[in-house]
Amino acid sequence: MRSALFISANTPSMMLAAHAYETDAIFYDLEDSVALSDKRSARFLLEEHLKTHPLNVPSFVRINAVDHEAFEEDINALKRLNHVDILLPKASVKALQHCLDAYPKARIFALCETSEVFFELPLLAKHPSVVGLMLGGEDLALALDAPKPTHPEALLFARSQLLYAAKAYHKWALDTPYTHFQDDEGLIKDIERAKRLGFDGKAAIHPSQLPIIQSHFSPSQDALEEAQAIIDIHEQTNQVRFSYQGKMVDQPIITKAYRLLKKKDAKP
Amino acid sequence: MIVSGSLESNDCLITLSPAETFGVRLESVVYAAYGKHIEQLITKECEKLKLTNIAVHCQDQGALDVTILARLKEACAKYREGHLHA
Amino acid sequence: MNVYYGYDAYFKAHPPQSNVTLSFHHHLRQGDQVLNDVMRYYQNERHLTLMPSALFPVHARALTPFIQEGRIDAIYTNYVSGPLGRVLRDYPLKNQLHLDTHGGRAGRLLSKKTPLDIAYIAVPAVDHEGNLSGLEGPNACGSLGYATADAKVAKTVILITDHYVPTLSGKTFRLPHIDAIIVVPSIGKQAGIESGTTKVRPQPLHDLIAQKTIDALIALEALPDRLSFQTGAGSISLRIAKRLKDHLKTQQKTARFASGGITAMHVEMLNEGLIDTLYDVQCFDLDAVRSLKTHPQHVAISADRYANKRQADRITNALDLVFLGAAQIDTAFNVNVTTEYDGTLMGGSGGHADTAEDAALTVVVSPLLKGRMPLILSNVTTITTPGHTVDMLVTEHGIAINPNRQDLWEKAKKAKLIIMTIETLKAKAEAFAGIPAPIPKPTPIGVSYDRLNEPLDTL
Repeated sequence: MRSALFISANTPSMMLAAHAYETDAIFYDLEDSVALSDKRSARFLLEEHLKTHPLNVPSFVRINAVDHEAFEEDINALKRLNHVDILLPKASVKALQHCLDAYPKARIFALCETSEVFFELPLLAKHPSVVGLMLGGEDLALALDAPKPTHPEALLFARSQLLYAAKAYHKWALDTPYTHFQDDEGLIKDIERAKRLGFDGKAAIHPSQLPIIQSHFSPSQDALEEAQAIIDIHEQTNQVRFSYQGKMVDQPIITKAYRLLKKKDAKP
Repeated sequence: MIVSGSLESNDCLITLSPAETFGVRLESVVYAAYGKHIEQLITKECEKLKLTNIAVHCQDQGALDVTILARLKEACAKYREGHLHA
Repeated sequence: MNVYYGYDAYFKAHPPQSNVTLSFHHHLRQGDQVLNDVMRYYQNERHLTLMPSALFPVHARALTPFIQEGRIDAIYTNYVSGPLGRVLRDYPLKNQLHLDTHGGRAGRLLSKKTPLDIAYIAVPAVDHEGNLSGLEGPNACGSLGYATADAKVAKTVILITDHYVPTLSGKTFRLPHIDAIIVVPSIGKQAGIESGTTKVRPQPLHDLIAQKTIDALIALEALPDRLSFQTGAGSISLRIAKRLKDHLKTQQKTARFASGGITAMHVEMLNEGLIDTLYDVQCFDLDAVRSLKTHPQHVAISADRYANKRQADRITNALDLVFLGAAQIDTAFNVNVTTEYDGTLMGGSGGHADTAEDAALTVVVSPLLKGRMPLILSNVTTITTPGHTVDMLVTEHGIAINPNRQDLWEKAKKAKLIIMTIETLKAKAEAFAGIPAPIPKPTPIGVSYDRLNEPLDTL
């Protein structure tokens, strides 16, 4: 999962356009982008839209947090739709449990954006209903009094922690969106940092970010060809130790090659 | 008077007001291609929602059927709330 | 050559007459004032035939009474935008509205198919020797390519200028004959030439279409070194030009020429050495005007040289690639850029049909849904450009190739480029919007012509 695009669920033109973009997932938003007085309206729109025009990529619905007055109605709407994929804001073990009590079938992408959750991340990541962890940089920076969430040193602990937890339990690790959507250079720097740490992808708050995110998180053609070549040798000779173009290949490199091919455009 | 939706592109603005008999007034940027269809859609949905003594005014900016239905449902919910509170 | 100061002086000496054919050009676009000012003197005349190269919203107020009162028998033009579209539908002209292509208009005039009595030509600068320039004066608008055929064939040629000076230097040109020069306070507003074009706002769907277009052309190996191309000034066109520029730069390729309406983006490419020559029939912005004035390889051309099918050495005939928009396209790839779904006039061919037929590869780019309206219909409301001249359609939801281009299909297959049939794309749009209700074609008010002025469709 290289990218997920946020779409406000109360904006019909964006709901329609979402069908055209090249992304590995869509995050329909009922939370921060929808004013309190429009919550029901957005729910109606999302419901009608998903019923009649399902996407051909996975879509997670960012519902309102478990302590929000709209939470219950959000869950009820998803139940009516039999839509199980949820992006849970202000995720915590307690919030997860609350959400699953209300909707046992739910498949949760946990949005980690409070300081508290970082003390129980492994428990969250381990839970079988959780498919991935996403860093919510803006809210977390606010909680930490970190003035510049996009600074390379800000949220360093959270980024690493989230990554370790996700990888330990084979869940998706998704980086926080880059909020300055017209600053491509800054976005690329932000992506490169997330990639170096090991993130699978990054959320997008504007469709113009998608091509950059998708291409940076996709393995290069060279890397794919090399992986294929290594697998071919391995499968033809049944060896786990051989040399390929002057480089020693052993089991971890073979495993990496398999994983690269499997994950190149995998969806959550 | 109850309002839902917006005048953004691909959206519509629905206004409900009390009336002697049911009626639909549609202004649409795609009237030639979809006008009759939208009028029927609104009428049918209002029957389902049991909205009778109501004038529906729809200012359509190229909304899909699903959007028109959603905006109508929201207007109806607001309308019922208004009646409850009254 | 007589010089008159003010319209009053001229029309006092040469009273306007009925039963005449008058022409104007549209290089000042939405900033034009000359057509409106001249027509005021004809307000009591009848049986007029008008041949403006295009009509803009700025002309609506002046021309509406003429049309309503039946003073104009016929209009020959290439493009009508703004309120006049509806007026022409509501008050049909006795001898109809005739829409040509840009090249077709030049051909019609030069072949004397439709004789022209008086050409009223707005010229940004004229000197006492009779030299003309579109590059000087307060209302410099650049190329005057649409007016040259008029000047060659009109029985009477009247220049109208607000910059009459002893001598002009730099790039100037002369006309075979000039009957009179009218010096007026203003021919219009220069800023009006930029109306409706070249503003780049964030439009992610347009970005997506531009990206898909360039990616597809790279896959089809359709962007060779030394190519020639044409793009318009619409939002998607500008984005394609930008990506094309980046492609040429990173691949260290250059283009032989770009033609048609010229924008700041073309000028940037010329200045960076990415294009050898710009053939400019019309300047779409003031950067283009400045460049035409100073750059030796930025060349003004006439509509005749640009796209007249009766001329073998026309520029469009050497085009490798053209990107065009569409209001509607049908499953036979016929394109409409002339009327809306209900028949209301909103544009016209301009160079659309000219370039589509001549370019080796014609790519139509457009959103698949415009608001709710599907781009692809079973039949277009009006045929502007015949489908057999259109090779490829790129939308945000996918790409279609004309079945008559088997070579492209093969190439796409080899390149593993995903291609859909146009019917599949049509169904995709209808899944969202539903099928638009068929509506009867309104009573014809005119004719859409092909490049040789043969009727193509009714209006």
